[in-house]
Amino acid sequence: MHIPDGFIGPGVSVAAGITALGGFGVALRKTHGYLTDRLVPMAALVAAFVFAAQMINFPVLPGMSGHLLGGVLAAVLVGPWAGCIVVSLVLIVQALLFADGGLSALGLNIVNMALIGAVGGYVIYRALFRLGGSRASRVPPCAGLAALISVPLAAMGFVLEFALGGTVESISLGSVFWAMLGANLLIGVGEGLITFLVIGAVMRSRSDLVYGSPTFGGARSEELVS
Amino acid sequence: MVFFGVGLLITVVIAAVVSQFASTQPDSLMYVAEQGGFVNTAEAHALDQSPLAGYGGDSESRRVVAGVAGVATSGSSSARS
Repeated sequence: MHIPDGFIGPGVSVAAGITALGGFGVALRKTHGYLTDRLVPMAALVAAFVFAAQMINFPVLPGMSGHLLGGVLAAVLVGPWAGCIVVSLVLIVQALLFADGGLSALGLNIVNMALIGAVGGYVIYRALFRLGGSRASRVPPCAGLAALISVPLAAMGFVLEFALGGTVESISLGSVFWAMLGANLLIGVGEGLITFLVIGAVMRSRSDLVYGSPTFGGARSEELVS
Repeated sequence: MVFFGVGLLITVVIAAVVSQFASTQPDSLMYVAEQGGFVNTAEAHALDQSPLAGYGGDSESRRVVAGVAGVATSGSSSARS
């Protein structure tokens, strides 16, 4: 899902860059009070895990692969805003060191995978979690389902950016929309499964470290959805 | 401490071992770009000549770089924690 240089024109890329910077600023402010001794090691571990997991492309269709985005996974473990910082840092390292994701597209990729994927994904998680009574046993399935939804949602971010700033005009937007939606729903199934399993494992061993769980032992920032 | 040790170990194994079996097929965006006929609008990355680019290219070095990068990232996170 990493957008390379050239797909999206400079106007929309700059606008996305400004949005990403703004979002990063909000995330820093929101995490100022609660990113304490409890959360910092967890955030570091989640960043390393998401970086490693994003290297694992799994086959989805003949000729197409997908990999974990990790937005909901990070957000449920360390909170939406710290999760946004974690995913942004992974994207920055990938673009600056590994030529994965264009430099001019960094803002676009942060908007799609950190802001939409982590913060947006957490909003979906909270809504799902509260829908059926906030019991701890519902944390992994709700996280998995939110993760599934977050992948096509991030893909829709790309479709919107492509519609506004795509560099080729002769392409049918409808076909890009349906192709991105379909492909990323399939990848979302993998994202949901991995998120469900990882959150489930952490809930069984240290549920006090899971920000999105009622068993969380630390302080929370202002809730996104009250 | 046990939790973070085990978490880190799993991360290192993913980075160093599982990454060797990762699919090299294009991801959803590059696949759709190929099918839609706009994949050629992608420009070369400014750092494409770097030995780390694309986690080390398509050859054997990719596996080595991916593994080392993953381990280094995991290691730095353990230093911070």
